[in-house]
Amino acid sequence: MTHETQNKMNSLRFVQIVQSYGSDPKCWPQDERAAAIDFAKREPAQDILRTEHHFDALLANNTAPAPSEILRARILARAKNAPPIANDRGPMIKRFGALAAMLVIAAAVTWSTGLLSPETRTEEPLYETPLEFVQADIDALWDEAFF
Amino acid sequence: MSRPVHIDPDEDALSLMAQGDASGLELLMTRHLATIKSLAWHMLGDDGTAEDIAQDVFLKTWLKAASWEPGQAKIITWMRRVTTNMCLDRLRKHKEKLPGELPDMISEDAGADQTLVEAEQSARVQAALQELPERQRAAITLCHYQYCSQSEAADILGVSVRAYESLLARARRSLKAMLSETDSFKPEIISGKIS
Repeated sequence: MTHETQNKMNSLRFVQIVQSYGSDPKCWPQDERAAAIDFAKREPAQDILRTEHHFDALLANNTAPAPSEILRARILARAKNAPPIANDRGPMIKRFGALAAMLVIAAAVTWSTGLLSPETRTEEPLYETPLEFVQADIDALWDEAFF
Repeated sequence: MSRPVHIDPDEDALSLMAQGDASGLELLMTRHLATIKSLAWHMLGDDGTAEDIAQDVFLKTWLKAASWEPGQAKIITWMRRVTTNMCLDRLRKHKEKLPGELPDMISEDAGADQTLVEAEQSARVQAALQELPERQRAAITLCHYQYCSQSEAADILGVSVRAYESLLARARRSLKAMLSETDSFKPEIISGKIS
């Protein structure tokens, strides 16, 4: 819990902490632990700590049975029949990488053949009318400005 | 802003598991099988069901190992979250109570009386835990039996830290009330008012 008064501890907050998290300081909120430990040294705090400690001991007595050996063997046997699923993002990245590489190669091939091919080597496009030529030039300017 | 990088102490086990090496799974079970089973047992109150849940959680972890990204949440936090959610799902689907068990710890030796008392107390606590609303039970289990930090437990339950604290406080209050009815707990101070 983020409290503005991290270093300040009062009886109300101390009681809230102990009645929520119990008497063991290890369980107390990390950002208030030091202040709460200091507060716990006061005489009145000892009463509530004793009560909560008694309750914690009762809870701690209720321990779960240990896992059986059969359980361990069962888990291992099932795992051996089901290998871990490989990271799906790996192949995905590889697939995208391969696609990107193919596109780059295709673009490069198109560009180089375009340069070398005699029929497209013309530097000036051929326009039917002067208006078409002017319009094409304006379009090219827009393309340069925005793309 | 960069995310905090956590060093996961189980990275060695995960890395083996990611390569399909079952020794990684064995290592992870040695470290956490008891923890995961205990979480499921406190949530469900039944040994067989808790073992089934633990098995599913470890198999999920095994299958996920290859796509696990180091540097994010610790694997044990993820496993606790999966366990808690599986238990909550099971409790919602099977509204009827799972069969509880009285611990079989009675023996004929000198400490038999003490053992019997402890076994009865443990059974009462477990029965009282099963009476709690599911999320309160999850909160108290994560705090008192799993020793989760405040932020980890809140994260597992998908609630704010303040809401988690409130769940805990209500859970403890309810448990105390239930256990004082069976004479298991005699609080000297209930109000907790100190000056």
